[in-house]
Amino acid sequence: MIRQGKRNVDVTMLAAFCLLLLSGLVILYSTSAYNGEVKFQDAFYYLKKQLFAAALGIAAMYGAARVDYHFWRKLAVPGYLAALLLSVAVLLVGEEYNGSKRWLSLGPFSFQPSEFAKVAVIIFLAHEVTKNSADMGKMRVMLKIMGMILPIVGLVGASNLSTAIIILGIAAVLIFTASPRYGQFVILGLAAAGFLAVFLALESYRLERIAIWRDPEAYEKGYQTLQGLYAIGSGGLFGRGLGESIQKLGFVPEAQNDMIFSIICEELGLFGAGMILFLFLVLIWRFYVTASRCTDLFGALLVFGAMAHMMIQVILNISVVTNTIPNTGITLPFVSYGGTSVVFLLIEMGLVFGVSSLVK
Amino acid sequence: MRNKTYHRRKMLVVFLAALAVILGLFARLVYLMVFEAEYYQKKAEDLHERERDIKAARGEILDANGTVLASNRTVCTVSVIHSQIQDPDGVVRGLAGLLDMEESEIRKKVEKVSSIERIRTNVDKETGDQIRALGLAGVKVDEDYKRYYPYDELASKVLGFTGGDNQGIIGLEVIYEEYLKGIDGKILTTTDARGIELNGVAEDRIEPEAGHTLQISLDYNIQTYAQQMAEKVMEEKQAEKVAILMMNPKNGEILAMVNVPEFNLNDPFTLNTPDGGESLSDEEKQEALNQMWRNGCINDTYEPGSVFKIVTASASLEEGVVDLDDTFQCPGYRIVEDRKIRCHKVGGHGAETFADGIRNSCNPVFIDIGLRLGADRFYEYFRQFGLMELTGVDLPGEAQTIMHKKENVGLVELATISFGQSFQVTPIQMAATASALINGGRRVTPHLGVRILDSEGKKEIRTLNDAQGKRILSEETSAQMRTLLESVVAEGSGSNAYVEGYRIGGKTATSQTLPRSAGKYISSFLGFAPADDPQILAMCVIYDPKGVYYGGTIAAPVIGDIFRNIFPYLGIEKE
Repeated sequence: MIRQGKRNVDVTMLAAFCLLLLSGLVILYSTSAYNGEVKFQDAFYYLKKQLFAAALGIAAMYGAARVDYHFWRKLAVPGYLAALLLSVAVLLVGEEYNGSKRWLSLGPFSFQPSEFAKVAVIIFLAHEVTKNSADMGKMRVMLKIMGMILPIVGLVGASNLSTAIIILGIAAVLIFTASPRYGQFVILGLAAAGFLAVFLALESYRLERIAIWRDPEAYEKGYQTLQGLYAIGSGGLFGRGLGESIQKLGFVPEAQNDMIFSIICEELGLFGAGMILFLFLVLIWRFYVTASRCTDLFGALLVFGAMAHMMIQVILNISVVTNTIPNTGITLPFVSYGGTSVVFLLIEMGLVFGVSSLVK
Repeated sequence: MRNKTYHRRKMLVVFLAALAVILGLFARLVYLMVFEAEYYQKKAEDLHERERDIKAARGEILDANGTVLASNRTVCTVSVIHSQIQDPDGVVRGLAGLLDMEESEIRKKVEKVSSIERIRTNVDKETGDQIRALGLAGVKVDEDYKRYYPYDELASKVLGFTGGDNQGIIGLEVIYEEYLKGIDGKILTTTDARGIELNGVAEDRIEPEAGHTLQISLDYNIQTYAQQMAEKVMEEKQAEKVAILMMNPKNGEILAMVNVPEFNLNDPFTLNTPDGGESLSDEEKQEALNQMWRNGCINDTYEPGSVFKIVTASASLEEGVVDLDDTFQCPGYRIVEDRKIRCHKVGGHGAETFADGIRNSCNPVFIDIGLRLGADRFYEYFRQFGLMELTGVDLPGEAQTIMHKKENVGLVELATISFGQSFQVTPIQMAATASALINGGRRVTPHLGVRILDSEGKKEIRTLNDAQGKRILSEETSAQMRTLLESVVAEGSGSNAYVEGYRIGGKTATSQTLPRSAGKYISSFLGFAPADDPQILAMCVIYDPKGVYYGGTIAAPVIGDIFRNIFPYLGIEKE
């Protein structure tokens, strides 16, 4: 069902996306060069792997964008089941890194099933919600759909709590969007808050994280948070200049990962960090516009799921880096180091471009 | 399924919520990067910067004519930076060889995980250059200064020396520490988390501020000559030690202060005995070092003996209990209560005037006037003359006068005090008090520090010790004392200090040390010139001389010799 001549391209979205991807790579190189040199005697080590993933992802994105998005409905259930299977597999034969089992090895490549799970859940939920859209106002239907994704939340959450929270968040946004009502979400929200409180209280280390969040200088484990704050504060208005960060030199641990935004602040200052934030905002805005203009609910939900994903990850990441919320490991889309994450984010972009090309 | 209006409205709600949160986060960023920036920047800087001190050059000490008595020499401090060492074994071997240290000792420091570990300070520049030439990664050779004394032993106990951290340990180096030490500088370098210095990041340097120059009243030439004389008499008389003190009686400036045996200021931790204290235990050696460093003129008291008759005479004349023409009878002893106190002349001096009594240094005469004065008045004069307090000399550890409690002073004690026995004072106290009694009656504070100059020794920053002392004796009595003491040298017991063509005053003393049974003596002489307008006062104290021990015989000639040689230098003219 490819209709060559009628395809539209959202130029603003494409421009924002390209700028983000490019600046993300530059920043990744700047941030990771020191760690690459120290650990692998190769300043380009991280950049090379990220470039490879990006190339792979761009090819996948291009393919995904050219496919009529209705095709994805057929893959919704099998994709979801595959995500479940892979998540079980990672628990059994996964590779450990930094104390968490998150990777599956495929020859020279390693693969993070939780990243695939996010895309799979977006397509699956878009499909399920569309199917049940007439009854979405009913609590029973809502709970049924929530129940359907609980297995993946549980499996992913076993080794990667942050990703589980993101998946839950995407589900909540999609169900909220599909339902005509508001009141029941207040109740749901309260219930979630209560659940969160119990969940935190169950394990003392989670409460400790809250204590560290409130006063990072008083705890040894506040080191990472504090180093991030030092980096942010050192940036000032215009930053030290690209490549000039000192905090990336081993002070912020693994600066190319979750804390990369703090190095953006240090090197590029408030203006640079503001620009990155602005690009994300433009992207989210175009996602919203695309979803809103799409006449077909499945397409709209597909795009809106991707938007929810992007939005939640950006907000949580920057909240953690600025110590606005307690520390939890969430990467910054397109910028943080992580091959699987980049590939699937690009595939998601492909889905969005695919939908957007058919929107009038 | 169609994308309905309520779907779109919900999407708008979510988008607006996201917009609000992202704007909120931007506000948080503004707060952190603008308002909190200074706080976090400071913290980050503290984290990134490693400090190394740059020692400040210590101020020089100049003599009265500007001769440098204490200076600095460039030396090196060798340290290792753990994180930068690439070849630990090479570093240990290289340093152990050149620094002549145990490998194990160096290995301990090399293997210690710390940002910087000091291996040794005060390494001479040559060795430091050799270590630098090895090019060992992680080894730092920093240059700084070490105190250097060009004249080794000269005035060692006066100048004092400094420790490894260039801080004064004894002498003037201690008293004038705050002026001399200067302000250390710093090198601030930026490092990564492993402590490796970053290239291309500018080093912050806080330059050290050199210490001020101290100019003292000591005269290198006089000190040198006095030291030679002291060494000569010490050897001739095989004395335990000899002190010579010379000062300006008008303002208290000390021109020479010799305490032989002196020690080498450039090697102050080696004993000045022939074997250097090899055979001693650590504790004994430390004790011996402390003894060696003592400045006898200030830190130790002695029985002044007959020199103290200057004080007794001044008090009695001032109080009017005696006139120069009063006559006394000396049978060779005086019985006080149940004690027979002897004069040094066994047969006695017979009938004599008070002036004769001083010339003869006759004990019965002074016993008589001391008893006339009485303990109450005598002690009142001690207080008035400043004998009971410290002189305030600008050297550390001045000893206090040891005097009987007044309520314990009976007639016998009063009699012995009168001719300078049974109590102890420091030589500096004796010299300072005598200065006041002959200079017209004003107390002086003996001192060495004259002025503080800038680090180049050019601009004067402040003057020291220039306050005028208070009056303790009338002009008239002081003039009488000068006349009396001049006659002691001209025609009395001090004749050996006479220098032809000059008017010299003085007083001899010989006192037996405690315990009396040991048969040890202290011989001394105090002289001043010109007798009518004293410009210099000199004192020689010889501890435990062998053979002839009379102060007039062995101490007076020393001062006479020095006077003869320095009068032309000081510009004191023949009459």
